[in-house]
Order: sequence, then C-alpha cells, then structure tokens
Amino acid sequence: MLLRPSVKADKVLLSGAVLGACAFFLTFLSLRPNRLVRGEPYAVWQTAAWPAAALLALLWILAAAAALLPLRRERRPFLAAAAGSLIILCILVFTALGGGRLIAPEDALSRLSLGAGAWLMLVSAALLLLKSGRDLKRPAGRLAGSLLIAGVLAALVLLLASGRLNALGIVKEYQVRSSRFLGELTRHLLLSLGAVAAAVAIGIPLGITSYRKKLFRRPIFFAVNSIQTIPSLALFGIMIAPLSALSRNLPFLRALGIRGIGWAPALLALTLYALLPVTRNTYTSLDILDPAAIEAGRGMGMSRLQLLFRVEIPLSVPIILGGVRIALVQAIGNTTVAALIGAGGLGTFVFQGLGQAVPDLILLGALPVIALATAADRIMRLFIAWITPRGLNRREGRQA
Amino acid sequence: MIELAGVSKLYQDVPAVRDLSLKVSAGEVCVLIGPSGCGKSTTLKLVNRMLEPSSGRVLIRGRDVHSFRPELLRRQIGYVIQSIGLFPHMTVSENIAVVPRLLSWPREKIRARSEELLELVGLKSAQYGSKLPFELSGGEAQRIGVARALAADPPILLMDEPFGAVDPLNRELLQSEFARIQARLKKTVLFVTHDLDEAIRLADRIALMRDGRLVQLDSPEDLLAHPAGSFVRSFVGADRALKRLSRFPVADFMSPARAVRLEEELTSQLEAVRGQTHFLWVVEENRPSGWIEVPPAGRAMPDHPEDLITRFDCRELAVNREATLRSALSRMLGQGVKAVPVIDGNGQLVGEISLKSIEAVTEEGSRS
Repeated sequence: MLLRPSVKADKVLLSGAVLGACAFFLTFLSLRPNRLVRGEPYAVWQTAAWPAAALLALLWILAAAAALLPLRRERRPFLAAAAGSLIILCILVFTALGGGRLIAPEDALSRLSLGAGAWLMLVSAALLLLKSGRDLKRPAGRLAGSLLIAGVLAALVLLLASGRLNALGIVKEYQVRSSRFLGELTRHLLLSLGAVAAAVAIGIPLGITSYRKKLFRRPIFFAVNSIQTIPSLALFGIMIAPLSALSRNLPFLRALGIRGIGWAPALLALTLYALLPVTRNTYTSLDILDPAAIEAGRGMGMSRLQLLFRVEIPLSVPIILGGVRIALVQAIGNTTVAALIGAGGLGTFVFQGLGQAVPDLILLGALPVIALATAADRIMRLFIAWITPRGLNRREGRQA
Repeated sequence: MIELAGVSKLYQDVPAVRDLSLKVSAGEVCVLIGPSGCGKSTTLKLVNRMLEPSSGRVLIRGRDVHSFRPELLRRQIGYVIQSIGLFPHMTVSENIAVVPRLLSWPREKIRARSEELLELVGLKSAQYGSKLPFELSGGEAQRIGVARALAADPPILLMDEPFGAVDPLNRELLQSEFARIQARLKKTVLFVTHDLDEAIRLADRIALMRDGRLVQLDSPEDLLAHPAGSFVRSFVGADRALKRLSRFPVADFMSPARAVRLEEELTSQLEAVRGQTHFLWVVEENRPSGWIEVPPAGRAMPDHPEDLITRFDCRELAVNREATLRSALSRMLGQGVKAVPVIDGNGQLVGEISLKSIEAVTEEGSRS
C-alpha cells in the first residue's frame, strides 16, 4: 500500500467545507413583502430547482474531498479554490433566479435578503479561497486562483448591472439613494485618505524624533498609545467641544467650514487614530537599521543626504509603508463611525439603517466599507512588495 | 603618507588618545594593537575624520585632513570595519560599486572594476556578483568588505579589526589572502587588531598602545626581541619565540617532498630511493594519505611493502602552503611527528616542512 504521510487532511479547508455544508440546510433567502416587516424563510431547494440545489450540495462535498483526499501539492488548493468560487457563483445565480421565481414582476415592494445560510456559505467559501490562495505557490497556480476570483467578481458586476439582482433588498435601498451613494462613498474615501495623509505628515517626523531624541520617546509613545485606547465613538465626541469653541471664537475657521460637528472633528479624530501605526513603524524602521551599514556608508564618503537616500530610506520605507497600510485599513473602518457626528460617509447608511431597523440599509453602508478596506489592504501589500528591495525580502519573511 | 602629530582625543574630558605621534610611510602596514580601551580604534577614526581630534594634527601626504571635506577625504581612503556593514538591499556588485558611483565613474568601468575586485579577493565574479549579502558566509562577506574598500583604488586603507568576527580557520585564510593582496597592491595600511598573532603576521611595524599612549613602535621582530618595559613584555608574552613563527609562511621554508604513488607498483618505487632516504610520503589520488618507511639498503625488501605504510588523515596532519610556521609546528607537536606534508589550495602535495627547518628559524631569532 502506498503511504503518503506528507499529505494529511487540511484542517482549515475541512472546517470551511463542514461549516458550508451545514449552512446549506439553513435559510438561504428570506422574502419580505416590504422593507420593514419580517421575512419568510426559504431554503436552497425551495429557491432553486432541485438539480441546481443538488449541484450546490455536490460542490460542498467536492470541497470536503479536496480537504480530505491525499492530493498532490498544487492540486488540493486548486480544487478548493475552484469549489469555493463556483459556490459563490451558485449563490449569486440562485439569488438572481430566486428573485424571478419568488416575486411577481409587477410587485415592486417585495424584496429578498440573503439568509443566515447564504451568508455562512459565502463566508465558508471565502475561507476556502483565502486558504487555497495561500497554498498556491507556483505562478500558474497563482494565476489560476486570481482568474477564479476575478471571474466571481465579474459575475457579481454583470448580475448587478443587468438588473438581475434588483429583487435584493440592498439593491432596492441603493436604487432609492443612488445619487447620494457615490457622494457618501467619495466622502468616506476622502476622509480616510485625508486622515492617513495627515497622520503620515505628522507621524513620520514624530517617529524620527522619538528615534533621534531619547528624551521624547516615552512621551510621544505614551501619547499615541493612549489615543489608541479611547473608543472611537468617544474620541469623535471629545472633538466636538474644543472645535465648536474654536469655531465660535475664530470666524475665519468658521468660514472654512470648521465646526463642532461635521468633517473637521472627524478628520482630526481619524488622524489621531492613524498616528500610532505610522509613528511606531517609522521608529521601528530606524531602530532596526544596522549601525554598521550607517558607519560603513559614512566611512566610504557618503554625505548626509546620500546616506539618507541610498541607505536609510530604501531600508526603512517598506516598514513605514507597512504602518501606513495598517493606518489606512483602520481609518476606512473608523470613518464609518464618523457619520455619527455628521461627517457623512458610508456610515450614514449604517446608522440610518439602524435607526429605521432596516438590515438591508445597514448592509448598503457596511459592505462597501469592507470592500474598500480589503481593496486598500491588497493594493498597499502589492505596492510594498513591489517597492521592497530583493535583499530585504528574507528579513521581512523572518519577521512575519 | 599618514602622519599623526601630537594628537589627543578627549571624550567629555576623559582622554582616549594622549599626545600620540605616528608616521606611516607609503606601502607600509602599520598595526595598532593594545588592550581594549587603549584608544587604537579612536586613533584610526581620526585619520578619516570619523572622529575629530581634540588637539594635534592629522596629515595625509603632508596635508592637514581638515583641509579636505570629510566626504571627499573618505572617498580616497578605504575603510573596513569588523561588522562589515554591507548594505543588505544591494547586491555584492552594487556594494562594491558604492564609492566608484559616488565618484561618478562610467558604468562600464564600474562593472569591470567590480569583477576584477571579486577575483582579487578570491571569489568568482559570475557566481557572486549578483548575490545578496544575506546569502554570504561570514568569511565571504568580509572579503566583499575588503573588495568594497579597495574599489576606487585608494592609496590608503584603514582596517578596524577586519577579521575579528570571523572564525579562527577562516581568519587565517583571510590573513594570508590579505598578505597576498597587500604584496601586490602596496597600499598604505593602518590596521587595528587586538590579536597579537595577526599583528605579528601582517605588520611591517607594530604600534603598541596603552591608555591612549604609544608604548612601543617597532618591527614585529624587534618588538618580540626587545620589548620595551614590563608592560610590553607581558603583552607579547613569554611565548614570543613561538609567536615570531607567525611571521613566516610555510611556503618559504618547505623542502621538496619525496612521495610514492599508491596507484603504481610500490617495490620498484622504493628500490629507486633506497639508501637516499628513510621515509617517503604516500600519495593516493593526488592527495597525501600516509607515509612509508623505506627499508635501509642491505635489508631485504618485504613481500608486502604495503605493510610499511602508516596512514593518516590529511586534514589533521597536512598544512597549507599559505599557513605559518607556527601552525606547522603546532601540527607537529600535536601529532608527534618531525615533519608534515605541505599542500596547496587543491590539496595536492607540494612539499614538506620539518622540525629542523623550524628550529633553524628560531635559533636565528634568538641570536639577533
């Protein structure tokens, strides 16, 4: 008998597959006659025709098989990725089809929401994709994985654009607010990016100062660490009093639009939050610079500027950018809360939805925030990988 | 070439170097040595203005170093430090090219120079040029450090315990390579070490320092033969006759080795030298692997001459031709033999060195 002790069952994939398979039996869609009343649950086999439902069940079995079977190195993650993306595709298509089957064409008020089962299956499928994305090492495998994810995203965009998902509650909420949505999205992005830009402008000098002047290190880190411990809602609230006082007493500030509520206190609070990762990583990047490299550079006749541009910056920028990445992802999330003090952004929909007890409206705010944060994270990671000198990659890897 | 005239350096009123005067002439290797904290590294750093003297003057070719901008001064002076300080984000070639690039050499000249230097320090340029520092061993990295310091062909080289962090085996190898390179390039070298054997081996003159002062400045032979005062005597130690042997490479004192090849018929090889010698090295696959006693003339040749062979491990007994008489002697004492085979870098037998020839050297030393 052929024993392959090296190929064991993949526990992460297995738990994803089991979770998804269980979720298959939970509520897939819920149908509500209008936006406020409670929905009526439908399972997968009540939503889609039985062969289609069977296909989805089969895909979960396939995912479990990928986790359990002793497959060769690249085959297992590829199989899991294929299963994961096909499952997401099925959920999208079933939802689109369910809209046609469960709601009469002339009925403009009824709407669908994804049920607990659909959400859980989406999460489990995402888990499959994430895990297999990690395990696909060869260029061909990575390309295949990226293509699968791109295919799923393209399907989502196509279905949305063609109006086939119009029965979904979140789409209906969007359609009512389509003109405002883009505005709030832009505002959200501007607030997050603006705060991070300001944090970079302040945090990098702070990091350098705390490195160069030992005296300031503890106070600086005490301050930026303390800010981080204040709950975001409280920090937004704290900003209101001083800013409204300033705005009352200084007319030119008022003319700029700086008031106790609105974008000004939000930007300030978000900037303060973003300070810690930027300051800390700047400090760390300088602290781990090899003093021998600096001495060698000086001893070979580099001027202060040459040392800065040829040695210090190339060695520290990847680490500083790592801090910027964390700050950005955090800021995109925190900006959601800023809607509470009238700063706008996608949080507006979240809090409207909470106020009106309409889950679909909450999702209209929350889902784009998640998408933005994920995209920002990905883009920053790619950029950092691209900008990091080859000789540092190993060091980075060791730290991770 | 380098002159320090009455130089002192204070750190917050604590003197590190006191009224030190020293001249290093062109092409000379001057080694600064002394117990830690004696100010030897500080002295070295005053030359390329990594540190500024509190008083006194430092001159290079008769010009005060203060008349140069520090950066321009340093580009004319090679600088090697113990921690090497290779730039981790640059390849080996780029590391070597740092100073030529600061001097705006044309690209093609830089490339050719970096290849030339890699070969000079004994590394294949095709293999090492595109490596990154983290891929190098300690000895390789320090070779690159030396190549980098030599890149712009500076007339002066400052070396601050360059081989201090390398393991003893590699250190000896690096030392002999440095001696070989120095014999070719004739740089003016100021070299800091705390290792007396290294100093004796490499120095033209040794400057022994203590508490920031120069205690004795002499050639290694004179320092060992005539230590000035009790401090120097205790520093060089009672084994100074032995230390002196570090001055001499095996290659200069070895004699040709007679050997038999194990692959060929033994009896006829032995017959040919009967009466001329009483033992021969045994070479197997071009490497010494034992010795054989030659039966004296008149005694019958045994039926199985192989029985006369004493085998040994070449790695334990043989010395490299670049090694010093001191390590040859230590091999002999360690293995209890009166002669050891000498091999070249490829492990081929190139000669033998005997206790007699080493004794001749020590006798000559005690007479002077």
